[in-house]
Amino acid sequence: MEPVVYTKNGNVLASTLVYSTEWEDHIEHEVTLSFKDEQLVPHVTKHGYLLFKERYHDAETGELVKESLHAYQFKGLDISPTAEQIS
Amino acid sequence: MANTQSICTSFKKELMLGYHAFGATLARGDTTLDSFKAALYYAAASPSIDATTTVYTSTGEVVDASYTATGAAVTNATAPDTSGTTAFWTPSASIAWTALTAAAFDAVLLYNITHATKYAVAVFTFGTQTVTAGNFTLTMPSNSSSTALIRLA
Repeated sequence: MEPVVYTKNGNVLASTLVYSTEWEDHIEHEVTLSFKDEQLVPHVTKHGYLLFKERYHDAETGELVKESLHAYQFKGLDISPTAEQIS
Repeated sequence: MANTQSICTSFKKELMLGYHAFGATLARGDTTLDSFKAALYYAAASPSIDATTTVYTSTGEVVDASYTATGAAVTNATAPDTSGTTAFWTPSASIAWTALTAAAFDAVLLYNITHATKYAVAVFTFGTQTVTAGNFTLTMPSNSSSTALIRLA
């Protein structure tokens, strides 16, 4: 039995679709330096996100009938509390 | 070792656990953890979803038959932890929508649904995106002091 794929036109035969993928890189690299054994050591932290897109087009018409997105967040958000000096 | 001025690391974790109330707080019915959800918002949401957002709102939220208003459940199976002087927490699973159709959305609001007011926690953006009869998955960062989704550094 041929597999079907759910699309905006309902379930259609997988053989009538063209599958493609795309990666989108929205990553920023933050480099910080620290001292270790009297040497500067770089630390690289990734910020931002990476997107992976999956698309199904109708093989005959070329119409985009299904598009999925997977986003990978490299780093969350932080809050930096500060204790003020009591004067 | 000399005394050092600092915010106590345990306090950062306890903030996430709701141990401290410097002002009048809400009544908690029990000692169990809260539930959280994530809602999707259009890039053109007005008012925008940002640091000034205090509670969940349906204004600007994605509207489609394939999308359930108020969003998707956030799996919270891992309690806040500390490492070094940082307290951190990350949902214990990806946040996912299936068979979704939504155009021009760019943000997700993480919020608390245990309390009727639905207090906001954080907003994450990922560029304006469109999904058609597809899946949308937000994969969480590693749950560590340097990358966790929510960190009190």
